[in-house]
Amino acid sequence: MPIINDKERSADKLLWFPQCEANKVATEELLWNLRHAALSENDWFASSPARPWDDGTIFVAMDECVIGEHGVVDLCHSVRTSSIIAKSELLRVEFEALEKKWKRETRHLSLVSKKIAHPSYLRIIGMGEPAIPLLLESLRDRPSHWFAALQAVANADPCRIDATPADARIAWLEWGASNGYIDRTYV
Amino acid sequence: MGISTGHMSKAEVEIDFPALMGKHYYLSAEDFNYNCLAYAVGDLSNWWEPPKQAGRYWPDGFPPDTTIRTVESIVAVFGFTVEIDPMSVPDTEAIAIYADGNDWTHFARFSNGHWSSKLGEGHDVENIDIADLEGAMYGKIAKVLSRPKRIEQ
Repeated sequence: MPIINDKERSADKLLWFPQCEANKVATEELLWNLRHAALSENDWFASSPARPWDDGTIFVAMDECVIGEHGVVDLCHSVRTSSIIAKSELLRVEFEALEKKWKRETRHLSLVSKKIAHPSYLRIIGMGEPAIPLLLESLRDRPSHWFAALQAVANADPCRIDATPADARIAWLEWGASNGYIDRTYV
Repeated sequence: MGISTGHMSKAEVEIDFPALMGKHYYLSAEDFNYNCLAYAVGDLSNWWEPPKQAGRYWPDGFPPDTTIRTVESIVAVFGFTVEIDPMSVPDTEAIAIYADGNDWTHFARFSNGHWSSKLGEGHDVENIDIADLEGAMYGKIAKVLSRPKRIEQ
């Protein structure tokens, strides 16, 4: 049973979540609801990013996601990103412990290929997409060779093949900011 | 150069390199931008490791492997061609190659009268004895290659 099984059109074409206060799109409530939906087993909304509404409803879901006719995918992408960010918070403590162990035990290795074979690094990859915000934060604040992990969990590669580590870091941070995982204050 | 990734204490470095305990050496800030091979050839902007990919550099025209043979041919391009006794003090610039079997694991550089090395993503260490880095982490010194001085005409 989906949590969100009701929608309502109004003159302003706003999508109301049942848990939201009537006639009011409160950002905090909406974000709470999105997180709740993302963490629930019934998060069909977050897991169905390409699910258009047949009647062409246009959504205004949150402050940073005002969209137009073609914006359903944008909304769903934003919801998906919010879902990933919400899940990442549940993994933060474990991630930081794994990061610390990985760095401590591989810091002096001369080959990245050996560093990324460490069990802690592999466990981080095993976290999947929710590791993306955490990896990007680490890359931003405590740079290290997270590029292989990011490629694995994001299924993307924004870097040129000849990118230096510094270039690759910037490329990933820009990718992360463009996709809503981190803010742009990373320079 | 690059972005400092933190600063370990000497005590933390000596966990991996116990032979450094009690020795007088210097540590730089940590830097993930370059590794020991890059440091040895003087490139502080790249991480030298095959194969070439984002975040990793490998010079064109050389096999993408970590054998001593291949890296010898690479450092030869930089003039390091004469093998010398690892126990001797070089009278010119030199590179020490550490290895585990046929594959290199680490490098140190002799210049300005002392040995120094980049420890993975970690610190540069300066004023070391290259034998102090031998052990479980880097294996043994395989060979030391010096760069002959140019003969002034």
